[in-house]
Amino acid sequence: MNIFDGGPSFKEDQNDSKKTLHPIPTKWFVRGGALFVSILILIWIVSTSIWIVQEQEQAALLTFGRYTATVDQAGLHLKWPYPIQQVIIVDANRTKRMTVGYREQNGKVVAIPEEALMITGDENIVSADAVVEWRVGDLEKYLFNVSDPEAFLRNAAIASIRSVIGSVKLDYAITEGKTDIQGRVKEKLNELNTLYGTGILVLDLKFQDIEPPEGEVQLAFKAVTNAREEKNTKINNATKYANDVIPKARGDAQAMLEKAEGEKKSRILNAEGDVAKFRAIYAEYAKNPAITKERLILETLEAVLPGAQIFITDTSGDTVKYLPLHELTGAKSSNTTTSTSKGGDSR
Amino acid sequence: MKGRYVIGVFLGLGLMAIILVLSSLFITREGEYKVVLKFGQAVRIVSDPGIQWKMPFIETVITLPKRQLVYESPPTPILTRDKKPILVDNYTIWRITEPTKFLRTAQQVLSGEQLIENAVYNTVRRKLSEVDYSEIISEQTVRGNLSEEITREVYNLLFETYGISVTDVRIKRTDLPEENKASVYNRMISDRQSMATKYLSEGDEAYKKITAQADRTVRETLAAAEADAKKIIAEGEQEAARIYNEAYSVDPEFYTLYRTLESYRSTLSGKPVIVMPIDSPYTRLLLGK
Repeated sequence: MNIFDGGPSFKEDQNDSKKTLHPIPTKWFVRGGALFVSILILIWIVSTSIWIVQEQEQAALLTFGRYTATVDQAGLHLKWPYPIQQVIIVDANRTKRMTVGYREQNGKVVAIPEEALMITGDENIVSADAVVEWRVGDLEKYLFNVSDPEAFLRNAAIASIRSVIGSVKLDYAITEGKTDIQGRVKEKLNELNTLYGTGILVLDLKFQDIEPPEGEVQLAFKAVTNAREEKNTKINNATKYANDVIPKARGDAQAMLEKAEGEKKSRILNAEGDVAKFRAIYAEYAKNPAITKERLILETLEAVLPGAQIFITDTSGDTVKYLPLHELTGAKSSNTTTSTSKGGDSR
Repeated sequence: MKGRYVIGVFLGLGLMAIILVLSSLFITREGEYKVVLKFGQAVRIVSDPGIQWKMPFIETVITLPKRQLVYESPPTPILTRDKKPILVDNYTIWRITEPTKFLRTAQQVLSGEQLIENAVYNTVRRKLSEVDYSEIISEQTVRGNLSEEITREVYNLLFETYGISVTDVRIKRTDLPEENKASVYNRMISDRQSMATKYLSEGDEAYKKITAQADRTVRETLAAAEADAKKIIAEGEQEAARIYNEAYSVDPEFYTLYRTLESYRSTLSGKPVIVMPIDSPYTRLLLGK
């Protein structure tokens, strides 16, 4: 705030001029001195009577120290000179930001751990940064009810945040609880603000971050997030595997069934074919069984024997004698019967 | 000469009059008390803003704040009922309500703060060592709000004696001594590590479960299909058998012949070796016996 009261330098000027005036009784000096004093008084009156209110400002007008008017009209104003009237000009219409847990200095963010770090309801430590947006709501209270409104606001904000964080669990605070906590802190801050009568209007309170303390602890928290992601990856991979093998198996199963159906069908058709052939032959057989039977046997032998090696054995004696027919039909002939071991043996 | 002297006298008297007037007027502003002292003794208090007279030179005026003031206590180490160390910062909102009392006991704002510091320190230490750590953190005890209780006690200590009215004593910050902080950090880290391990193992668990279920489904699907396939084939066999039976049962004897010959064709294909006894019909046929 800006107290516009003319300042102490005017009083000094007054005293100085009076001293110089007294001991030198020259007429010209007296007149010159009187003129000088009049000019000083004039300057004083003018400079303490004219004052300006900017657009974003409001001014409290004090008459003999008593708060008599609020001026919120921007522009040039007149008042009685000091010490009769005084104005206190405050940029009351501007929205101001107060950061809790950190400060912005020349565009840089400087963390203030002793403001940011606090204990949660489950006895962990969490770091919370917030911004309070405020402006002057009640100029009289702002100026005259509290000695340092911003210090009041800061203390109340810190206490409110700490109090709410102290009643919630860490995991809630760093995950889904932010909005809820924000609301409760705002409520608490307004309550304290009303109790203290600071004249400040809290427009908003927003948390920038509620997170585990920096360094190793934060890394451990990140590791948990990573682990959770890894878990999801594993589940996805497993699902991918399942999605791969199960449909394939279904395909295989279907293929098996189709094959079986095919086999069934072909077996039946084969049977039907066989039966048809049998029936046809039987029909002829029935007409003349003896001849057909003989014919069938011979035909079979004709079909089978050309490629066959035929041994005829005589089991009447002690030794088995055989006649290699194919050698007879082949080149060298030898009608010897060689004895081998038992019948059915081949070379 | 005489005229100039007269002017000088008038000027001097005028100046004296101005000084007299100025030193017997004083202004009380909004938000402050003026205490008028006569030889160091407080004779009256002006709490309403405005302009007032006093006796020049004899009475002097001092200013005391009427506004609320905030006092921030340094961190107080406390051992809670459950034997945990904690550092607590408080701030106190206070104002001077009876300037005479305040002036008599405290003289100035700075000593007022000393009074508050003592009262708050003692009350906070006593109160907070009677409750558990968690109750301090949440500010809620079984009896109600901790800050309100402390405020009430500090108010009672200061109001009657010192003319100080305490609006609020509030826990601003709670902190842990460095060495305890480190152990809390370690606990938090190990807590998270166990959580991370849990997630990783849960991932493995889920992976194994899902893949095993998939494998099971695959095997079951294939086995069921195989069983069905066998059934189907069996049906085919049955049907074929039925067809054969139906046809062959007409003349079993012929069937035997027919089937034997059939099987000769298939078993004796290629270059079979046939050993025939000399007295078989075919041999006889062959040898002309």
